Amino acid sequence: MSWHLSPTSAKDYIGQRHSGSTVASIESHLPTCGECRRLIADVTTAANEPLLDQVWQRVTIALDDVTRPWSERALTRVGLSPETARLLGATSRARLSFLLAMLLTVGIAIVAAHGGRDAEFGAFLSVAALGPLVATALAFGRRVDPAHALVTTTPTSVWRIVLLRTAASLIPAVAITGLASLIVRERGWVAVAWLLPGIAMAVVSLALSIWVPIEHAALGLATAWIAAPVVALRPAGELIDTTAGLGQLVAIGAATLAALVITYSRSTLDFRET
Amino acid sequence: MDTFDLTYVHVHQLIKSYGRQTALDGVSLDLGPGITGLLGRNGAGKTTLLRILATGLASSSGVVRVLGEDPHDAAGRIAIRRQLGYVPQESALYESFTPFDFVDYVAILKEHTDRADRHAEVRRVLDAVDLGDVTRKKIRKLSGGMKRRVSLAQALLGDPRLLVLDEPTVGLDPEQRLRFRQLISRHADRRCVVLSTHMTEDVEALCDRVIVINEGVVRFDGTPVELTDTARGNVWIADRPDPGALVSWRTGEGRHRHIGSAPADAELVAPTLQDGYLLLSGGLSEEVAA
Repeated sequence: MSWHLSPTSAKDYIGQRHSGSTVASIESHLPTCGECRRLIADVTTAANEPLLDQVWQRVTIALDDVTRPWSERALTRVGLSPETARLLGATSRARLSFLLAMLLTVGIAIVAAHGGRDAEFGAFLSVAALGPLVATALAFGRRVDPAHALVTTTPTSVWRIVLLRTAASLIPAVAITGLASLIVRERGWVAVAWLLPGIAMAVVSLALSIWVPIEHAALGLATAWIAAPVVALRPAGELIDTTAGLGQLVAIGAATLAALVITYSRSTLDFRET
Repeated sequence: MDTFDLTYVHVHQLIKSYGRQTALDGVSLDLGPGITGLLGRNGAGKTTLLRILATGLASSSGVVRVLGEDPHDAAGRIAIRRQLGYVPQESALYESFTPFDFVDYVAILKEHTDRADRHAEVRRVLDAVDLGDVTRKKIRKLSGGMKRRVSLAQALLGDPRLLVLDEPTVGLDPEQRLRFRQLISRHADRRCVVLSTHMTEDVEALCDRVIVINEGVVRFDGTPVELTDTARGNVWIADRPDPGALVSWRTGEGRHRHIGSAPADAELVAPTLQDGYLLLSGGLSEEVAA
């Protein structure tokens, strides 16, 4: 903005002597110009202070809404408070990695549907289960959040932020992977056998993050998950076909245990030793 | 207000270890209102101490009380954080945010719940650091000095009783550093400010007290004048370099300034704070001297 208010114009603004279009122009300029705000404050008299306060409050809130990022405005439209939307909007750096992980899952699902072989289907199930884990690992932590050192020294519970961001990443991850499962739906319910192990690994990684950085926890779990068919010396598809039922129970058990650990030890996350 | 109330920070025999490495080794200090500067080389333990005071890191042993609260206790930690402003050493900004959005984000985390009041507070702190004109510009488009001021603005939210600043003047030009000093000196009235820096000029200009940390141990704790005095009688100007000096460098006038024992044909000169610091820390670090 190249222009600034003159003292006369500032007094006319305070005295409500400007036309509507001039007022609108001034009010769109003020939020971006500290110099003009100081001028307005200087010429404001005690008598018109309450009126100015009201106008100022209305204008700034309206302008703040216009200048909010589209992602935050979208979140407020689905019912979240502007404050919660802002807390969630801070994880943009991780969005690209998250998107790539989701595209990889969908791509493998398409290959599996066209190939129709166990190996390809096994690859889909293996990668699909990693979606929730990747989403969780990219939601919070020193490596994905540049403001981590700052965020962890504010009065807001670190755990609340972790849960909020995890939910925000996990919900679309599960939704996208769920849609990818439709591509291989001829396999029956096993096409969604990734869901419970995926959520279980996400919850276990959160529990482990109480003691180790979440990216280390996620990497360890992902490695173990990918290596399982190798250790069992069987193709992933066959392994999952034959152990899917038991696997679901194990996943529920692991997720429950991890949730209990989180419930009792979460304050440690707030004040880690390293 | 009695003496106890004026102690904002009490640290006794503080030890912090990372595995076998000891970052802080038996640090004891009490801080009251005013500005305290921490001087020390990279890796001396300054950032570790500040992170412990800012409740971002747990100590391994020893006593730590910040604003009368124990940071190891969950309720105490929250109480400290409600009265704390902290500027971490590393850049802690979201580049895709505007200064307004970022400071607003931190204000939400600092429990400023009323939206209109919060926005007014955000504007107040951005104006205080002279960023009122760029509130809607993306942080990635700001200069290094402006980004540092965004970090400082968020720390000033709510007018905190304790301000912990880790190298706050890095990236600021001389004019911005002067403004920073004015801002911090205004804020320090009846509040506690602890800052780490490599710039002895900042300590000289701002601090009522200076603490020199080296290898995790407090080597000096006193006023800037007292630190300067430690070098009295040990600073010389000569026409030639002295290989035997603890530290020696060529000045702008083409002569050589030496810290240590007297070289031949040298004249004794009044020391500066930097001379005192260099003498105390045993000269230049290997990294700088190389």
